Amino acid sequence: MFVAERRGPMLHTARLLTAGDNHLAEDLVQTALTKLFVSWASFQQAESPNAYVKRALFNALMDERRRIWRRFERPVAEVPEGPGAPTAASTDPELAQALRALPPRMRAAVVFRFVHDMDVADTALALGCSPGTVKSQTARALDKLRTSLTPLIPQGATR
Amino acid sequence: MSDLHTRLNRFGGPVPAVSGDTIAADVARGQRAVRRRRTARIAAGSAFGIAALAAAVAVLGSTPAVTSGTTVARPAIGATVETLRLVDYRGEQPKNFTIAKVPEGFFVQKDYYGGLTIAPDAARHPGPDVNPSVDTLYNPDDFTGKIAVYLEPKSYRGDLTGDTVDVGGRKAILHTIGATTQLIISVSGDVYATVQADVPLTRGQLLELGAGLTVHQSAIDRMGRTKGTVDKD
Repeated sequence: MFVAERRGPMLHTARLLTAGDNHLAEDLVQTALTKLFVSWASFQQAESPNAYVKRALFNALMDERRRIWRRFERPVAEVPEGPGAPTAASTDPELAQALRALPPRMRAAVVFRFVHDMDVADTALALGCSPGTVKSQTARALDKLRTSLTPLIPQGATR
Repeated sequence: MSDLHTRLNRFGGPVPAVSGDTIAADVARGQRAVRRRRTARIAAGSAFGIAALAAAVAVLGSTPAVTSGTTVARPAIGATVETLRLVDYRGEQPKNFTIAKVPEGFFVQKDYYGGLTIAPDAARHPGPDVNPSVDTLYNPDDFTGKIAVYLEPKSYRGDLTGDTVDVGGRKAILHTIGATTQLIISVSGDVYATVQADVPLTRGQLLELGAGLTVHQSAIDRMGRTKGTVDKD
């Protein structure tokens, strides 16, 4: 039941965390679900189950980035897509590029705070950092996106 | 700003429907991970003596007992013979629970209103070369090789599957997750107390352990008021 309810939203989040890399997003979801399965009791005791799930995804993202083999597995910047559904990166390449330019923690901060409307405390739990760091990372992320996507974000907007 | 919000949401793509095959694959992956982790832990020999380990590894590979064509739920790691002995608990009682039985050589590692962690004595005194953040035995929030008791709102569980049993006059369900069985005891109209044993207990021992568990009303009331989150003590 948990997988049926949560997998779809997790994949949505993972696509944003990976800046539109659908294959990596699927990997992250599988990894996060496996870790949740192994730590099911801890998940049920979590202060915020939502933050726990987000943290599992974020940790999976960071672990993926640490894997050396992935550098060799993906020698090109753009992975050619098959004839399937268009990827997020192909439908909005400008936003994909802007998200890719953000460091992963900064990208996750803006996804959790701005897209999922999580509060600062839950976002801090998800990212394993202090509330102050969440605020600064979110603000800096929005600044960077403002620079990249000038027409869309009014000056002075903060989160 | 709302344009960016809309654009990001669109970028994430639609929330896809999940097929039964995908769910089955996810669950199978999780079960394999649990087995790998448990096997590695047993092989490390951190919790039990060599004799107990041999018995535990032996039963890991066994199949569920079948009686008259009906699969019997396997408690913990599937013990079919007693490899641990339940004894009367003689330590200081937790603040929010009363426990009558524990496996011999186990103690209460963590006690808070939402639950208990009951761990082997080896977790009491980490040596100087132990890194508690790496060796999960010393982490009271990690239940590998331990018994966990935790309260949770019934609404969080949804429909449960498993054998319905009577535990000290309370209705309970033996719910299997992979190779682990949880004894989910109804302690009020809206709260369950779950006993999860990641140690080789037989079905009878798990029921005996659950029958000896009393949850104080204050803890039940506090959990009943929560909405899927656990307050800090």
